[in-house]
Amino acid sequence: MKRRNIFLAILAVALILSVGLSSAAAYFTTSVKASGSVMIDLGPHTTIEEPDVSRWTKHVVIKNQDDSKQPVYVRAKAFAGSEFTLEYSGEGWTIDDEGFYRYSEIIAPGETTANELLIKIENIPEGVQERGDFNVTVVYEATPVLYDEAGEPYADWNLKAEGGDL
Amino acid sequence: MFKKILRSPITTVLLFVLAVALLLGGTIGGVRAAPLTPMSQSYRASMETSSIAIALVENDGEPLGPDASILESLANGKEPFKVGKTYSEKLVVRNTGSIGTYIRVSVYKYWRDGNGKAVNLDPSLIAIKFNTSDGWTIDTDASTEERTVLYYTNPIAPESDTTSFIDSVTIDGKIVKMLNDDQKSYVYDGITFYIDVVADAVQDHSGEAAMLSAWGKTNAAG
Repeated sequence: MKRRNIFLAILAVALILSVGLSSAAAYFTTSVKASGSVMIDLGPHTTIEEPDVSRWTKHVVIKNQDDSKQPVYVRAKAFAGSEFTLEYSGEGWTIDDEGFYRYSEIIAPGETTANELLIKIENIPEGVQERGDFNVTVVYEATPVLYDEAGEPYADWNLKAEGGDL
Repeated sequence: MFKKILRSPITTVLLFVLAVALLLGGTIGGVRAAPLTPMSQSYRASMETSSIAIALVENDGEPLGPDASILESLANGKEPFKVGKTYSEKLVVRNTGSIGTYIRVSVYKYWRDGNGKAVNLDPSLIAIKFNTSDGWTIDTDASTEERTVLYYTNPIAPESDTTSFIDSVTIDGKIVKMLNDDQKSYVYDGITFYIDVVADAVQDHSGEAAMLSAWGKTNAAG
């Protein structure tokens, strides 16, 4: 008799609990997922070429290498002794505030500046031509093409490298 | 006298025979009655059970499947993905079920490299502009740098859409000046950014209790 009462009591509790569980699980729910990803390709690799030096004029061409992953803007500048005068010319090349000549077009990977930057050396002192002991050094910079919110490209020549880890 | 009749074997036999006769008669009667029963007109009743279902819809396209791909317009192969550009991206939730629902959306953004999730890279450089008007509210308590939880405050009727909970996606242009220690390679070169979206729905009937049961809070989150 006693055992039967205990059994009935357990049964009653189980029934009460099961009633509560069924009401909690009765709500309709559902879920869906979606995912998207895009790989970032960075890393311009550029080289400077001077295919021809003639008539005291440097012909500067800058190439964005085939293995480069990013289009770039480029600019160049020449240094020489103060006794020399350098005359720059070339379609698409314009001087900036820092004395560099910027090429107006974007150079895509595998492409070169379509127009040469011509740097003519003038005021060569007598005797220097014969000795050939002078240097004119050309330096250039390339910066990755950036895009504003509207997708318009621009160059930031003040970009400075920094770390990226958190 | 009556008891004597009842106890008589004859009575027993008679009652048995009567019972058999009644049984047979009933069966035969039923059989006979069948042709006489006029056929009633047949009726059909269609019963529709309640169902809950939702789908994500990207940029006014077709409803997406349960584990669909998004952002394909950002890297469509026609032009390279542009760091710094703001790409328009619209995602809405459509109620494809037969009952009204409340909606919650969780958006995850993170970087992955060849070894899996790159936890050392900054998810804030993946800039997602969320729509915090038009019915959407961000649950700031549940949101982190990597995850944003949004609730749609109004129930959505069947075959109706929410407004878009995303407006645009931009990768911060700062990544082009983030170099590795060798000062030659980019930290984010070859790294992939991911955006995952999980949309949850509960019934709008007894909605508050349903949300509390399923999500632990209601859509009045702040």
